[in-house]
Amino acid sequence: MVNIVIRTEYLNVYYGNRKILDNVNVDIYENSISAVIGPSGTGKSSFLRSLNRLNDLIPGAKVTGKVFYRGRNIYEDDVNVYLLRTRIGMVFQRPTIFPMSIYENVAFGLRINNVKDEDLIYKRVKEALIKAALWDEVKDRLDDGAYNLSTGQQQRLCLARTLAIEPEVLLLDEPTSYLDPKSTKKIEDVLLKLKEKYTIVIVTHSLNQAKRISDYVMVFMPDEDNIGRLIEYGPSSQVLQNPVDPKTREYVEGLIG
Amino acid sequence: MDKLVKYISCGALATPIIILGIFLVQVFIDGITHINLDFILGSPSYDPSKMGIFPVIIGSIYIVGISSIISFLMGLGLSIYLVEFVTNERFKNLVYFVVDMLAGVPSVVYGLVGLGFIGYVLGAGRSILTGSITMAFLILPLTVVATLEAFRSIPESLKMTAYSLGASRQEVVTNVLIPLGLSRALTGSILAVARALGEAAPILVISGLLFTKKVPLSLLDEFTVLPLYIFNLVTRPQLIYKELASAVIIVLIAIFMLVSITSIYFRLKYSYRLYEV
Repeated sequence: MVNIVIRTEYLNVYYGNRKILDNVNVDIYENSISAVIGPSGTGKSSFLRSLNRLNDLIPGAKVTGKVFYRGRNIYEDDVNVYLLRTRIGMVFQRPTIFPMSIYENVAFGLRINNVKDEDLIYKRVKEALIKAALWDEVKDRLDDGAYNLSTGQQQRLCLARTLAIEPEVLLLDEPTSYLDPKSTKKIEDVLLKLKEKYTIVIVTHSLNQAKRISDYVMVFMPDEDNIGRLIEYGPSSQVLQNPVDPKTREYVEGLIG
Repeated sequence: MDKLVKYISCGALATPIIILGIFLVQVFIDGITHINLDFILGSPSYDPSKMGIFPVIIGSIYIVGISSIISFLMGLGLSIYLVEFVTNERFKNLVYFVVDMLAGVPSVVYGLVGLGFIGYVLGAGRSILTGSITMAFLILPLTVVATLEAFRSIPESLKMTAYSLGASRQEVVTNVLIPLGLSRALTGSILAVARALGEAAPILVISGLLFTKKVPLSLLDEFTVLPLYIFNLVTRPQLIYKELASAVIIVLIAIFMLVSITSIYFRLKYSYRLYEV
């Protein structure tokens, strides 16, 4: 029996008057990696941001429908969004590094969430860096500026920063699209390990990446009005090798073949 | 054709530099012989050979210091509010428009309003307090532009990251906007400080004093400032006063340089490198 961590019901996303995403209904399972694939501009990122209510901050964005996290609709008025975002962490496409030291970058989320005990902060920072496979590379220069890290290291630093606040779900928005294959591999290895403890949703442009790491695949496609729709969702082996929807078949074969 | 454009733009660059250079050299030649400790630390005198400007320097430092602090804090609050809390674009544009309007109001009008309202209605009189608050509003458009520019230069992605880690708006302001934008906002506000240092018209209206021997101590004391004193000196026909005016200008420029150098120092020391990979 697999547990459902996040469930969306009739999820729609609008920017101003334009509908971006239409009627998405999915279940996201515990300790799995779900890949979100599809062409650009089909609302994949918007979908991701609607799961931790980051769309709230984008001017003109509006979300309708329901998103249940552990059975609770996160779009109800009395939900503490700040607490929610510490449970559902996010890593962005480009590394978002604060102009601070490596250590302070990872500690940032803890400090914002009012963790005052410096020993605890150190412990969490260290654990997070170990989980993100960055500890060995930076343990001797934690006080150096984080900008001196390579892009791949910076992205793992962002992952560590999110892990430090101990979320349950990780949302990753094309985290490897600016990375070289070696750095990409490192992130993928980390994610495969993390899935034992976390539930991961990853938007990716790379079908190969979806194939390599995901357990489930969601395929978003624009309809004739250019509104993003979830056209196929299932275990990745089935979706990627034996898709039901002809559009998925076209997309999967077109890009691989 | 290319050459013509090159010469024109080169000329456009050279003209202000040459004019400024001639002006500075002239002022320096005229005034430097009068600069000495007695001049800086002495009191104004009707005998030009015993002239000192200490009370005037103190008046200027008071006005510039207090007005810059008030104006910077107002600018900071306004910019944070606009950048982080206002989502209505129309309202934002309205505020920008009002700030532009404020920048276009002649400075003597600020003086009149300041004297009338703060001086008489609120009863602060022709004091440093009245002058500083008036000056703070006069330079507000400049501090607003500087602080806004500083906060806007902070990448949206860093704010989003903070939010994604569970930060509230207030925490984004105190943990991202202010620490990352402050040094840039401060150095950007240097223009405002220069303006406050150089303005004569509103102070002429508010203080009315061209000459005082009394060093201002409390905020409610009367005062005069360097630009006004220069104005006082150049209105006299004798050559010696022209030279003294040049000496005061040198002091004024020196104070401004001191402020600039301090701000550059802080910029280098505390500035963060803000760029995206």
